[in-house]
Amino acid sequence: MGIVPTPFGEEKQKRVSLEMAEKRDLFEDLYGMELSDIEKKLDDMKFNQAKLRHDLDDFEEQYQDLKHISKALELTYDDLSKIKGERGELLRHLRKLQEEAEKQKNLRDEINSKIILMEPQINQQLEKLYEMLTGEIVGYKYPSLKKEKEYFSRLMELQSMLEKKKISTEAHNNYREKILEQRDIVIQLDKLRNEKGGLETELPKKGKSKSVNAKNIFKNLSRLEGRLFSSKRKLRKLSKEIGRYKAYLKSRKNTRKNRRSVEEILSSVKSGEANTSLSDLTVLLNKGVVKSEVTYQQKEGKSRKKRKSKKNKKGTVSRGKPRTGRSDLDSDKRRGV
Amino acid sequence: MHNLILAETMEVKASDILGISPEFLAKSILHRRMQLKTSLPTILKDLQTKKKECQDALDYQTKLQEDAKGNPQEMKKQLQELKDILNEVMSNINQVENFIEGSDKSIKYWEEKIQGGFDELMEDKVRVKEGGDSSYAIRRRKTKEGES
Repeated sequence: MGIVPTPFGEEKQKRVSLEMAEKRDLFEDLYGMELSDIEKKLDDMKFNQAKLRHDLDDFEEQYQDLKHISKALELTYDDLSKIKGERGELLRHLRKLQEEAEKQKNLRDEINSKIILMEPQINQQLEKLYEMLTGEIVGYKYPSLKKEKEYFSRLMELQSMLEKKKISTEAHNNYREKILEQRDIVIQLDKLRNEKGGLETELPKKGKSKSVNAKNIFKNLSRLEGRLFSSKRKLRKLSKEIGRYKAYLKSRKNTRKNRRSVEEILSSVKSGEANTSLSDLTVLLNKGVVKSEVTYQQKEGKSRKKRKSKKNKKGTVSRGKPRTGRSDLDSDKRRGV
Repeated sequence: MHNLILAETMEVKASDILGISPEFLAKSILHRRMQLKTSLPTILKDLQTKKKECQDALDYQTKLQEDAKGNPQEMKKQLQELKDILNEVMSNINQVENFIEGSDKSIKYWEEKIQGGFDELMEDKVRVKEGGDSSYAIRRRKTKEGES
């Protein structure tokens, strides 16, 4: 026996399908929002996107660098002290550079976690706020005392932020320098390895023991990998969301621009102009006037079309077919009258 | 529309703003306020004249429409345009009046700050200088906490 749906079941089904239909609407959450709010949110998202991109580049760079030097640091301090000559010197220098780079990176990251704006953004904000507080007033947008206080306080904060950010940028540049230096050393080490037939010949065979620093590097590598993927995921999601907001804004602005009043549309329909667009029809439908007016127009159109077709028909008949003339005249002709 | 040109403004770069002291900034704000205070009554007067002109034009247009002179559609369009202009002028008058009203209070506030110090407005700056979070970072953290 099949399952007979109860009335309650049907109702539930209807509700579910209705909910699904509602969910399918891409802009559902944006309908109730003001345009200015949407634009503000879009700006925030764009800012986050720029920051995320910047972070992503940074992570990518760090990841590649760490990958390069991780090979060279798979040695213990004991191992290093036992390696003599040029190679040992290079490896010791490499380790020193790694420690210094780590310090610079920590300094940079600490500042960046507290000051999330990037240097160009801070500069831009500073200039904007200064202009708003002391510059020319366009239109009648006079700031209130409350706003003046807010901008003043923010400008002062941005000054300190810029100072700190400069330290962070310097640390970042130092870090990059150290990493590049490390890269050169790794290349030199590779060369030496190829010339002398491998590092193992000079190293005591103690199994694959790794130094604490090398372990840290691997830990950092996997952590960076995680950050890299999660940033990529976030960026993709954010870009989609930005696209959605942009599309919605565009559609709303277009609708506003193109929408005509009911009177205008009706008069154009009555006068027979063929410029009724989809948005016009939407307006008419919303106002509930589409039924009477449009049917009237359709009827008129049809009758005009009929008249035209009759005329055409007559023309063709008189041109082509024989025996359609006056029968008495034809018979006279035939008789030779 | 009026564009109020206050003190001669130069294009200022962020590096210049970095060295600006709170006193200097407060004095600049005060200077702009003072200048606006003297120029705004004239602007307000102009706006009120404009408002009267708009109202007269609107009355005339309404009368024409009542007498059914001219193209009704065209007249309706013109009437709407005039109404929009009048609304804008009224809103501008409101803005200017509010600003004039708040001017004295604001001037007094900035004068007091220049005399007595800016501690109240420097909290965020001091926190960042001492190695704390910026207000931007705090706001972001709060938003994230709110979302989760």
